[in-house]
Amino acid sequence: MPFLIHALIRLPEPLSGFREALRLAGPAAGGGTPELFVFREIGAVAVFVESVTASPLQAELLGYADVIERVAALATMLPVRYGSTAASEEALLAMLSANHDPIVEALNRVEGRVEYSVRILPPKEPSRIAGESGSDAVASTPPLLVGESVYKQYLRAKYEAFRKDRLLAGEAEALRGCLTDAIRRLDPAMRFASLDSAGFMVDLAVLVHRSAQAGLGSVFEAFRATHPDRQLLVTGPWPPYNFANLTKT
Amino acid sequence: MQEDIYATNRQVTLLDILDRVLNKGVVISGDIIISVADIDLVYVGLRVLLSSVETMERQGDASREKSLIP
Repeated sequence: MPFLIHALIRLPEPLSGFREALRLAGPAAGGGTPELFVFREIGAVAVFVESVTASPLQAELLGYADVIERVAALATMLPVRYGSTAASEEALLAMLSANHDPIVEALNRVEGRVEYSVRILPPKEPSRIAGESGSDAVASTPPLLVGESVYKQYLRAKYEAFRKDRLLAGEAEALRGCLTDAIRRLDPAMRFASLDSAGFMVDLAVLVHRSAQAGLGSVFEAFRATHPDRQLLVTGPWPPYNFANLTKT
Repeated sequence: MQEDIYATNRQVTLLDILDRVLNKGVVISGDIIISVADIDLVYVGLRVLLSSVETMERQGDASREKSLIP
């Protein structure tokens, strides 16, 4: 019967206020109450559970995320990956003790900051890669590949796929730079992680200071205005899920 | 999400939440079990979630009983 750990936090002041807010927010999914376990100036928010199932339902995962959201509204915190459990209170406190310094360092990195997900979908039509016109493909075909034989057609198709991939990668790099440069002007200490997820031309997790949040809307609107043929998807603010690693990056 | 000002649609946000909960966040060491019932959640990918969520949405409310992880 373990504790399911949801978040690691820096203890806020006053601590009693944090505990009360956590309690007033109600039980976690499954009925357990989020509890705070303290070690020096850090703590872990965990819920006592009968067991952790191998096949969590969507509702359980959303409930887990909801507790993380609640904690993020109350304290500087690091979300913990679902499924991290401690067998007992002693084990939980031992974990906090053993990882104290990396946890503090990671909390310092995310202090006062929130995460946004910034993505760009790839063009639906391959010919709509920026800077390419229909005649470019013909003009750029090496003379060696010109011809009607099956062999030449095959090589031409391979070459064309390679050329489009390279163009797409180049454009993705330019778009990524355009966005991160604009966000950095709002928050020079911003950090970003390029997630390179399948299905997205650009997939960034961006960590910005709360004071920069108000300006993000303008950045994204300006991007949309200058890149009307690119679909920008932005979600957030999120707790710092992508910046919560305990090893220094 | 408290200030979900830019979320473009419910499905993207839902997938974002599930992906983050299962694949992101602190992986801590010590007497902590990272896997659940011998399944290492570190390697549960978005592809599995995408498939499961799409299936659930097709099946409507009945999908609540469907597991996300096969």
